[in-house]
Amino acid sequence: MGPGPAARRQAFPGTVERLIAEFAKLPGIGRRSAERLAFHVLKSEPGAALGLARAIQDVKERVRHCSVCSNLTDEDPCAICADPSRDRGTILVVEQPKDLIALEQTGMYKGLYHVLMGRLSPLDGIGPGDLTIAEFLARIDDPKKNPGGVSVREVVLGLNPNVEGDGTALYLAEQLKGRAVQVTRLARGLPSGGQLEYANKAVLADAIQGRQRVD
Amino acid sequence: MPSTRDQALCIRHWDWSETSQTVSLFTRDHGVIRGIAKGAKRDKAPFSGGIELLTRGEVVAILKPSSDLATITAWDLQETFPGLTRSLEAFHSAMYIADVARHSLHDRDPHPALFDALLTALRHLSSAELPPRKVVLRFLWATLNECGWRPELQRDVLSGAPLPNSGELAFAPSLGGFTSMPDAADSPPGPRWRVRGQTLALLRTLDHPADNADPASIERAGKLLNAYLTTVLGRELPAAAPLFGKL
Ligand SMILES: [Zn+2]
Repeated sequence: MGPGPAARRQAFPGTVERLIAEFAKLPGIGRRSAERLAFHVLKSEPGAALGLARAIQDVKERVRHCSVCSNLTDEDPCAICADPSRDRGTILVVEQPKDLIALEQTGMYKGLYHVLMGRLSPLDGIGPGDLTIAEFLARIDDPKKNPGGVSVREVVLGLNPNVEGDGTALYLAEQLKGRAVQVTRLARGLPSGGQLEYANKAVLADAIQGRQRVD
Repeated sequence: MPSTRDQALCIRHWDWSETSQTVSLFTRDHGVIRGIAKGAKRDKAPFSGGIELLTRGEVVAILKPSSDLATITAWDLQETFPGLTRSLEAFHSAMYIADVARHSLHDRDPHPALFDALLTALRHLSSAELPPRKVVLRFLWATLNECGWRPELQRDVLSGAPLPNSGELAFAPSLGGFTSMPDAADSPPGPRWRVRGQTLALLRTLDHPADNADPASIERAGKLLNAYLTTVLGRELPAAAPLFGKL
């Protein structure tokens, strides 16, 4: 029998072991992949390796949340909030910055965003106070807190289509009742350009639930 | 290792990576199973598109005795409860009863009657057939009964005498029941919660629930059973706060 994993690990110098341990903390990276990445760093030119280190440092030091919409940005307010050509009367509410990026990459939406930084998750003890809901409502109640001082006309709820996302959308819709804004939500169900027979069961169930009247 | 097939309700899930999930499934015949569903969110995988919280499906899993974590190999979605997000009270009630089930049961300890009670409760909440508070109260009662924590409703836990049906009483969580003499000098230590006689009367109907209880009594009884369950479990359930407030 060869040496066990414990014996093999001790073979690395302490600094290399530290790098492997740091890589292994990344999502989806196991011990083996972490070792591969560490050896890649060891073998690479000093400039390349330090470039990686500096990029990580810059991200942590310079990237923060936009004070208006909570999007990730290295300037405050973010480029979207600062862009006067966007429709500042419409706010699309999403859970995470990565949702904003996905929507933004379509190039189809010209309004502003608000990132909640999560969703209502009672099983984790996450309630409205843990999200950026107060900041969102402030943008609606006080146009001065929305870019350009523009009053919000429409709120588009773009939460994930599952029970927690729907619960969060319901909570926001109730908060918006009695405020003079139109509330819409992103359509859901079958992906366009797809074929019914290839859709998974969850998508089909959602599409059946959300069926619409044809006039 | 043979695989196991069972009816299940998803009572907790964590995204483990872009495509994989870890889940707690309350199965009918195998109790709560915690497991990993690798690749569950890939389109072609046999997981109906992913295991979603508060849905019912047929699960196929490999339960290794040597590991707490099962390997989930398939999930066939059978039922969703879209009405749970028609009202915030239904939403929070559904989350709460899932939390109650998860924290009250040990892994792989079968409780088919409680599985049926949870399924019925979710259907009632989704269809808005019963007020959410009533659904929650019934499920709490089913849980306390199934787990062997049913409070004593007939006799005074201090004196052993039959309990009156009205008047002021106290609930002694450490003794698991009611007393009409909370200040007795030689009684065992522990908190005593003041309770109305109507609350006891309502709890006595829960084995054969009638539909004539007033909402205020239902709310008080639910609060009492939640507080009692908190004492039994030794912890507050995260999902209790939106329904009952902080204890
Ligand atoms: Zn912004």
